[in-house]
Amino acid sequence: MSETTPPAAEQPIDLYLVERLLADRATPGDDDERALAILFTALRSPAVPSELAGREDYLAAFAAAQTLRIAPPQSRRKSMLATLLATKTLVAGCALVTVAGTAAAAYTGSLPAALQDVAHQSVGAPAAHVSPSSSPDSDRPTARPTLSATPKPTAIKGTPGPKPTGAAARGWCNAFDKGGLGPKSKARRALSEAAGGPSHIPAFCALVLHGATGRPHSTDKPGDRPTAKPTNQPGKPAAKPTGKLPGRPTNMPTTFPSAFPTNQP
Amino acid sequence: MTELGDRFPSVLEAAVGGDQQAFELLWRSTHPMLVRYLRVLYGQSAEDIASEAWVRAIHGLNTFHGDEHGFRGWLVVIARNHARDLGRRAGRRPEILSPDLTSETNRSESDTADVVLERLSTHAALRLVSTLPPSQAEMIALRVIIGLDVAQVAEIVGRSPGAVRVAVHRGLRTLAGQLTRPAQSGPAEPDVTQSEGEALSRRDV
Repeated sequence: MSETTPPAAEQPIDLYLVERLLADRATPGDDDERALAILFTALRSPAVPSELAGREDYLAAFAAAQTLRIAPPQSRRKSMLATLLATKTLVAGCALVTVAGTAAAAYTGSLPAALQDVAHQSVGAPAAHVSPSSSPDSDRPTARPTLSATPKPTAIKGTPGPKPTGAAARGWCNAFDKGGLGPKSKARRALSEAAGGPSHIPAFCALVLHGATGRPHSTDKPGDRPTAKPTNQPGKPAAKPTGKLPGRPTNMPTTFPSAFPTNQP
Repeated sequence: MTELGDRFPSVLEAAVGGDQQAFELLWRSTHPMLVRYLRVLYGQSAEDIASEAWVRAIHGLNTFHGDEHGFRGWLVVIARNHARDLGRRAGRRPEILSPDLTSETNRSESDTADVVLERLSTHAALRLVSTLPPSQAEMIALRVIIGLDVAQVAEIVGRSPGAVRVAVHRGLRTLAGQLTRPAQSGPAEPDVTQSEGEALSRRDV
């Protein structure tokens, strides 16, 4: 009898209580388990629409990040100054010369800074409430092994010419706002088309950028360059192929990228 | 809990490759539970923390390797770290759920009784869990809401698996006590207790 009436927290540990409840197999006749089963059901119930609100913002953040990925990883290690200089030179060059077929490449290659902003601008919606004083860099992924294995502009696969709608439009407009779209670039043309003529671009962009989600731009820039080396610390993650999580969460900021090899060997 | 299951590896791969639909699948299957977990610990800041976590996750997506639960754990760790950066302590989460609860339920457009009930009971459940000591609440949330196993939870919270088992068990016993014997056991929400819907729908829905 004493086993069936639990004196609350003093009960011996039931190793399989959670497993049973997760599997929806509460012990029949046990009131506690029945109550917990109800609790579990509520905690794990399928998402309701309001829990999926903000979907567009997340998709926009994702889209923006795809553009961002084009930035060559090597440049991440260069000093800010070098990056800025390169940007200016390239932007100027882009304005004067448009090599056939490489407009997109010029655009993308020339605008690391703008693109960095783009990412956040699109993301701005969800992230705007986040306290601007936070220090985002500490957890930012620093290792980008896939990219660092790829030499420069060849990385441009995938996004040669996004359509100027939704997130892409925001990206283009951002670049446009910053004076970064070469007058003959693909992006400029696409934007012009979408706006209904070159002269309408500013108005169009105002709408795109501030019409739908005109929330304030947080100063918390995800685009800030990681200062740490873009090495992947091969030793660390590989050290735990045991299906476990990596070290303490406090270690995660730099190691989390390849952190969760939970595939059981 | 919607899990991608067998589809996860291909969905992840596509998302890493830049496929937006794949990313959406990933997001849909993960985001709601992430927010629930965060809600237990950080109340109304949950959405903000989650969005920042996603931004970081998106940027590091190509560096993640693992299965679906590994992915959830990874996301949780990112969110946790961000919350820590913000200096939001789990202990400071008193007013969390209640105001949110009423406003959200009132606002909801799809105001069918079922939806409200579902919403409310999930909220009530989250609120109940949040009354536990923070570490217990977190472990239960990771175990039950996120669906991680003991070893994963142990890694995330930096405790031994044994300690996690004990804490989860204690927490659940406490919750069970509040659910079945609300009169004796203090501040918990009696709402959730009476079991399922009826009591809930009649009270302050």
